[in-house]
Amino acid sequence: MDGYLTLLLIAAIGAGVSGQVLAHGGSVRPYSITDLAVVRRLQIPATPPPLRGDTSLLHFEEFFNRPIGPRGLVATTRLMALDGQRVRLFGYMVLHDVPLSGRFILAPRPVTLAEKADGQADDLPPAVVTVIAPPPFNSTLLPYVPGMLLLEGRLQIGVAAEPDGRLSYVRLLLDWPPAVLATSGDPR
Amino acid sequence: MTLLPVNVLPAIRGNYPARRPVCGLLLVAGMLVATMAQATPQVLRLTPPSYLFSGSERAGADGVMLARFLPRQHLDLQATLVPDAGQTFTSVTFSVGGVVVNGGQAEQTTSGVSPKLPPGTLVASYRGWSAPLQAGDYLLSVEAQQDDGQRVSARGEFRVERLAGSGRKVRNIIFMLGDGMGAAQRTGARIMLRGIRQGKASAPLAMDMANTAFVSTSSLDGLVTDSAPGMSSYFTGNKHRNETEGVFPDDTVDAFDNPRIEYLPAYLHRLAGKNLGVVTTADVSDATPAATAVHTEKRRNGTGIVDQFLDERARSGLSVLLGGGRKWFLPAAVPGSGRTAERDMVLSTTAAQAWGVSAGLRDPQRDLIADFQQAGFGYVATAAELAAIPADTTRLLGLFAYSNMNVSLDKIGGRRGTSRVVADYGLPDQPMLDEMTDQALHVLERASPQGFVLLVEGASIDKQAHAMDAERWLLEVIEFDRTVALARRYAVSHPDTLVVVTADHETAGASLIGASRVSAAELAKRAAKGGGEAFLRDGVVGTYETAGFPQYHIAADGYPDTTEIDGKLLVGYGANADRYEDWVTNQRPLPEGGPVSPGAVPNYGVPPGMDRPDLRDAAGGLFFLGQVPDSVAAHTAVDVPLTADGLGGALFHGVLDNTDVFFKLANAVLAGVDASLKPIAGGTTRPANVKAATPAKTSAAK
Repeated sequence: MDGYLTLLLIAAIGAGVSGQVLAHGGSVRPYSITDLAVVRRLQIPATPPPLRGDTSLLHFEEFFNRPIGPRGLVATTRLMALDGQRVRLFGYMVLHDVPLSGRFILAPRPVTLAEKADGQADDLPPAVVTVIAPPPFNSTLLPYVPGMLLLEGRLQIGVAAEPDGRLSYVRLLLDWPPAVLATSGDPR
Repeated sequence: MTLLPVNVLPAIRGNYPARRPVCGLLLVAGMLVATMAQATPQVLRLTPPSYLFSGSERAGADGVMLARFLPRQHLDLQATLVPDAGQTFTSVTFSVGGVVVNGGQAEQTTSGVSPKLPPGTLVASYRGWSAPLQAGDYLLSVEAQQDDGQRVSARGEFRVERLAGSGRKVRNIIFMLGDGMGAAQRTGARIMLRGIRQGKASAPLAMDMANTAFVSTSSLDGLVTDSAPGMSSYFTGNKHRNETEGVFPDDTVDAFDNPRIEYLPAYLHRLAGKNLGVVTTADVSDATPAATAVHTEKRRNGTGIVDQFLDERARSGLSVLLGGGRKWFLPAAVPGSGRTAERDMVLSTTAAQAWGVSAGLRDPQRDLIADFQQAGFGYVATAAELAAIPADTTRLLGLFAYSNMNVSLDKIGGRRGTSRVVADYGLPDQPMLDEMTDQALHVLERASPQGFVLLVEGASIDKQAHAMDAERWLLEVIEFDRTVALARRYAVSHPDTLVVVTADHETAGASLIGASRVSAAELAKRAAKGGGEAFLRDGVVGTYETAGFPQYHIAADGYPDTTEIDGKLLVGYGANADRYEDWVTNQRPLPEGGPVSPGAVPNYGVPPGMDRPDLRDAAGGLFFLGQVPDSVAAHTAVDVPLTADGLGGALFHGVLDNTDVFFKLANAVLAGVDASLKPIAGGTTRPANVKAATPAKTSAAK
């Protein structure tokens, strides 16, 4: 399983998957249907790989007290206890209209952000994670990877300003070399 | 100061020095390059914008005038002036109708000017200027002198429209904007909600009113508008550049210092004591709700936008604000907050004084909910709390989501127990648009002895059309139409109320291409099996008589019990992004298979790519190449319908520019509605849910 992120990123960058998030200089071109083939060739695990002993499985539902109260989000004791710890998350890479270098938002459901049109008036669920890629991908645009992802890394809790002006509260500092990234199977 | 329009003062006309050199918006780019080498100072921009400044001849008496205002409407005059290298300007003078504009509201700055402009470029403003009382066309001029004595001048023009009318004056305006709602969106909802048999609709929508017009929507800088200028034009009477609301373009980097144009609610609050209510299903910082009271050139600056709602409420009369967008109201240190200093606003002292508003602070740690409460607003965060507000509430803030609220298909699914979307968001008790509007009307009526202006936005008609999610935007239109019915019931019981229903633009080039020729079960089978064009298009899409008439069943809650019927309505798009289509209702806004709950098993069955509009529904193999290069469908430039009812509804007919609507609205309130204006022959259609109204009550159908 190790190396899936590498595989996906390299395949995507090399073949230009997802025209909105091309790497190497950040050149952007419209998505092409022919790009699909690259992702489809990847082998998908039938089951999640086992957790390492130092890694906790964390769910988006465990981030904040639910239902959400009348004001701000209230972090759960479990979330706070995992600050600085290694965690595994399942989620979807948010498709940004204006992607940022080296990071993306992971959400419990697929979301497309139209930042050019709508700014930060968006459909993001309250519980999301800002995923920060390690070198060498922290300074380049990451390719969009469709489907559900499995990510592991070190959890970081606390308000921080992101380069696009958003505030993040939960961040995942992605392992390098990457532990696991999985997507679901070929629809055909 | 007495100002006379040039069309009644011929001697003034033409009594202006020729601009040296004549420059215009279309020449600006070239001038920027040429300026460095030229030995004469330049006037790069003169605001309000005009065709005259752009190099055209003056508008004739019946000519199209770009900038138009109402008598005593407030606005900022502004000019951008580029000196010769090493020179500075020593004086700048604005004149209107031959009379020098003077007083204590002048402002000049060379700091904060766009770095693309030469050093020393001066932006000179006259803030909070009041348009002349007398109607007519006016010449605007600016003249400046450098310290070496060289002078430069430029001319523009604008029109002050006449307030004319007699008879009863409109007391309340309910302005209902279905964002992105073109003709197809309306027709589709009518077919789904009311049904159609042998070519005739079984009943009209509530928004199907006899007073009908078409509205053109293009913005100041583009054929295709976005929502910010789309809504701003209705409430300021002027064209705006895309992404801007309540301001003209300028040449500075600050997003909040652009030349302002007074909004209709503020104008009517100042002159007639009207209060403002804003109800939306979007983030309240989004373009449409903000374009009722907020002035900025960047619609995405949520922190400053929501601050302005409160800090300038003395000007706007804001009394009700309901929707999503809670993140902007929370101190930055609170999880979930979106407040940042860089998206906040601070006005210059001159601008703040001229407009009589707070200068603001860059205060990301501000607790804006607490400040609203301090200002006398009740605060609610759920539908249950909204329904239970105290009877004496006169100011109300409701924030039901952190950004946009969930859409009606998912909210209804949550109430029926058939969908977990709103629960997954952690916000299971969000109100419907008609429920918010019902309470808004109660509060406004109580708080507004002189009447009110209420904006009601069905925001996600647009957002779901962007996503090319037909069933979701169709149900958004149905939710919106239920709210129109509520507003019309209010107008029946309050006959001095004007109800206007329109859109800021059309979204996605939506079209009703026909209906499915197969059963719902067969369609689902084909969508899962694949087969592409031969199987999922040629074998499914019924056109002309093969389309038949889709028949949906409406449940007791007012929405279709299912959108998956035999022979369902099929939707195509003329401004689509790349997409797969299988015609089947998407069970999620975008499908999700992630384990959001502890212990849940990851769902590897969700195919990759189903989480973006251009790849969703790929299993059927029917792919449509996008006609736009974006990842989502785009707005279009087609005219949108406008329908109106109540006192003054008959003012709206023909083909209108969106700015025309502003003047009709203001005229109906301030000058009255001529008694000779009768509803169009045949009378106003009233669908069943309007007829059934109890005049004394405004309760929404639950």
